[in-house]
Amino acid sequence: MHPGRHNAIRDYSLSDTPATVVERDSDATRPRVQRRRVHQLPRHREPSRSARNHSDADGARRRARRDLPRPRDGVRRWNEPGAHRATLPDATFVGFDFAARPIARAQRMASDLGLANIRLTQLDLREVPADLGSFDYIIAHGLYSWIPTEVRAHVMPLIARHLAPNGVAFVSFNTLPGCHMRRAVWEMLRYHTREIADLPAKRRRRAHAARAGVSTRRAVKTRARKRCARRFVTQAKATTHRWLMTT
Amino acid sequence: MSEPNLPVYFHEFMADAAGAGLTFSRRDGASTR
Repeated sequence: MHPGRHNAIRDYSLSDTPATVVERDSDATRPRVQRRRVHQLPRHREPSRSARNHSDADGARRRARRDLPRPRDGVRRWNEPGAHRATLPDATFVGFDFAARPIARAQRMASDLGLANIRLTQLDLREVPADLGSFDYIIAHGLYSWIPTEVRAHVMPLIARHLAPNGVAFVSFNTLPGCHMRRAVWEMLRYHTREIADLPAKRRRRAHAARAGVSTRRAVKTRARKRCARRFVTQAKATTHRWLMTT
Repeated sequence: MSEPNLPVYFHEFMADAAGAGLTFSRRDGASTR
């Protein structure tokens, strides 16, 4: 909310249509109540230039941009290097990932685009060579929360080792307590998919048992489960039909 | 699904960064925005 809007209290609740707009004047003793349709509510207007100039956050961002290292020969960056290649043709980009397939795909893309100043390697961050160089910008998006704790312990020391003086590192992470909400869903999904957590290995065992002509306990259980599922679907269809007929 | 998802509190993140000698620059306002 920008200056000039502090004294407006709006109620956009969907249950109350038309929406009630309460505007409290600074010099008025009681609120002036207006009733308008939702589509007639005033649209959010961008703050004026003077308001922008007086905003501390914008000023801080402008100052930050001014103080950041300027792109020059030797500027390097980790991760997501392709996006800024066109605007920083003299920069050098280095990217690495533990997963081989995304790196192979990125290498193909860089090759197709004819980008010669990008180096992409498949690498464990615990085995980053000390002579990799120093970087003005280091970007580690999401990584911090997606790796095991013992690997995460290497992230910050690695950044400290390779960040150039006055360089900037961007490290994103899933933060608590907000992430408790996401974690609840994540745990539920893990619980309900616990049977297929190790699917490739189980499939291999079952295939081996089938070749040997052995009916495993697992196979018996699977057949019973499928029978049960078929019965459930039949009943559900019948229920739906009945429900549709009665309503 | 098998990947770890280990969210941390901001103060833990700060402590980890500070332990490695990294600091948040308040002067230029580029810290958390």
